[in-house]
Amino acid sequence: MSRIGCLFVPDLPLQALSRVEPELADHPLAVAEGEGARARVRCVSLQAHTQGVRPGISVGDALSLSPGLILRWVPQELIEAAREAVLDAASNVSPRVEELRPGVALIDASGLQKLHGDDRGVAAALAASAAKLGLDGRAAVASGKKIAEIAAKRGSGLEVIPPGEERAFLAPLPLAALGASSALEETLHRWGIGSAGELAALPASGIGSRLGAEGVALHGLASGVDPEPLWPRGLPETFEEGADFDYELAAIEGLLFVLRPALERLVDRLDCYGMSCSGLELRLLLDPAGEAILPVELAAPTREVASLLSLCRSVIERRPPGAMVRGLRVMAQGAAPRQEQLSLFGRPTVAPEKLATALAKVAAIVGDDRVGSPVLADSHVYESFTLGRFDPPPPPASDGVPCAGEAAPGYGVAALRLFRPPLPAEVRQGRDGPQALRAGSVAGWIVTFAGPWRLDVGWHGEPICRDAFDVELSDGAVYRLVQDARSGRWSLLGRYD
Amino acid sequence: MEEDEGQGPVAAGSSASASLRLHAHALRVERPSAAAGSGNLGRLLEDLRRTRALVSPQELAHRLPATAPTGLEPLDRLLGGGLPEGRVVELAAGREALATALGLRILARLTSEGRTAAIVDRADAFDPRGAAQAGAELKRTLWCRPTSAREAIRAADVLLASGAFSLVILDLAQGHGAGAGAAQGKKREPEISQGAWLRLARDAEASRSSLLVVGGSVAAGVSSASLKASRSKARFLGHGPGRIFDGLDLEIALERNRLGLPPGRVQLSFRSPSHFGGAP
Repeated sequence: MSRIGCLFVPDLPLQALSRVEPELADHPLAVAEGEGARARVRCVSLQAHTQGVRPGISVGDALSLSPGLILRWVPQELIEAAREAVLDAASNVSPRVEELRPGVALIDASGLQKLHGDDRGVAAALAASAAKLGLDGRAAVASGKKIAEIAAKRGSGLEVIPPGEERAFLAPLPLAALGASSALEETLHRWGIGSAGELAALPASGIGSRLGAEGVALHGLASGVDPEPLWPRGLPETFEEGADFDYELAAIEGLLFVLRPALERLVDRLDCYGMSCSGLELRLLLDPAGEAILPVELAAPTREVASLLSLCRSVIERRPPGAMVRGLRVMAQGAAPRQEQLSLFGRPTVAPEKLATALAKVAAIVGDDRVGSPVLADSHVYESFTLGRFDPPPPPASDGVPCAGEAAPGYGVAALRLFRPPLPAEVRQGRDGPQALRAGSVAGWIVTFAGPWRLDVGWHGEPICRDAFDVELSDGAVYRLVQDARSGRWSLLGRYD
Repeated sequence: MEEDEGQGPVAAGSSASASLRLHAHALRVERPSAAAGSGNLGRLLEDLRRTRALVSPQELAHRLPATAPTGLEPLDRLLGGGLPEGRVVELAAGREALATALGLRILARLTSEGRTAAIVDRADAFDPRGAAQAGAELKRTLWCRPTSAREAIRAADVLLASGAFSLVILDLAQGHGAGAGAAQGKKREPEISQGAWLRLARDAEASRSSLLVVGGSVAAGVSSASLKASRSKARFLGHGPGRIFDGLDLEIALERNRLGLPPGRVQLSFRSPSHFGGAP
């Protein structure tokens, strides 16, 4: 028999607010909806409830009942983030998760005994996982989806309905608790049936002809039969968190102060899937309107909040929004962290996650476009290159044996120390070639030179046509000197060193 | 006090450690006679041991860093086996040469063995194609291009602390140009503090990574060895229009060190890359 777990998070808008601003937890709190005179209280915290504030009353009435009430309008994005967080919390317990409705997540609880123990352990794991993401949830485990949901909603925290006891559990409940439509409920009331137990006592043979398909389903449920299978959802690709500010922010420090908890929430949610953050997108909501979208590239997936924050800071500093910021949204792409089996006898290596974190930190310091693994461009232009992602292959198994690639030659190779950009040069030419040059702080007579070698590439796009020389100056230094064949301009590419 | 032949305690001074490193004779301490004074000598030896001024050859070998051969035999001899692991080695910025070829040679050797290396290139002068021609595996090479010395130090600090890189080359040499000469009016970069160097040295030691500082003469306070390169000769082959650049010779001097190595200098010859496929 399959077992279904249910995680129910009540008052989702209120919990969405509490996740973003946990310091409000000790105050009477209410979430409102609507505008102007039509603004109504949507849900209230326990403290506000004890002071008489109820959902559905007007905002003015709520404030008159509780002068210290903190009243907020929660943006839909934050509610959506909390809704996704409920599913993430459930995914932390079981990989098969279905969203029944916002705030209600169902999991396939079969086969989780080795991980979480018995059904109560599974329910406890669900509640603990929700608490880790800042949600106050109730959990239950039963033999069907509807029964598990009813148990979670009506229970006090953790509920377990043992197999075979579903009918007994449902018997005292009113028909409305089973999800009966008002028309069907009214019909049954006219028959003198008010509870699930009374409905289950009716013979099943005549239900269909009298109450239709809905009646049959309700009768089955009241009898403890809940055969609907779980429809698990796929893995999410992006995760979004955010916050709206009480007042507009202009300084980056204030922005980072809000950004850090948002990143922490994102990393906690990614952690539910065992994923790391492979990319970020910052969306800054500007005052009075508009938004700035700042993509944040990561050198490697990481879960280190400090590194992510440093990267975000460098991106914001490089591309300031240009207006006051009234809110932010952070969207993260999840990716599997790099896993590598470390060798017991081979060369000591570092865990990929540590390397990824170090790369993210370095990218935050120097800029993500200025760190990586050099990749030679497929070009005849000597100094052309690109920077790729640093992803070193695993070291060879045996010590000291060169890798599969080309081994280092047994001799030294004279290397160029490049000038970026090339130094514009003035060259005095003689009959046989260049005689003297001056470029930046480099100046002298040319004692010997080799060349020229003609390079003529890129005729179909950006043509490069130049002659290259290796020249030795009077002080003994050797430079690579090039002359553009079309403009005649000279420049120094680098020095042999 | 019982000491076997050749296993006697030695003073931990620089010359003694050098002699040990080169497998020369260890200083031998004779067994004191039973005559008067043996008690004093015993106490003296005990005091020296306690203050770690006197160590056995085994202890000394344990203290000395492991080395990574550079593949250039004369240089390995000069450095007592190769680049010391977990130490800072300074390639002092001479006016004539910075020995970029030497750094690339070490990079090539280590990466071809399957190790990873990082270049923190403050000067933005790294030549990837030249490195590939020197035999470096670029996939195992991280190239970091900071725009200031402060960024370079911070980046090197992170890379060393990660423990992921066997070699970190910190290139702080000033460029030629965009004019080094015309830079008088430009704002001068602040000096790197001794505290920053100490932190780098500590990170290198903790992660057993070698830190090769190019052009950072202020690293002297923490470097275990200081090399200075000077250009001795450029070689050209042939005459007239068919002449080609054949390579250059460098003289590398070990100026000072804390490894107990004797000072010395070696000649290294580097061949032009254009001989094996380098396009101009």
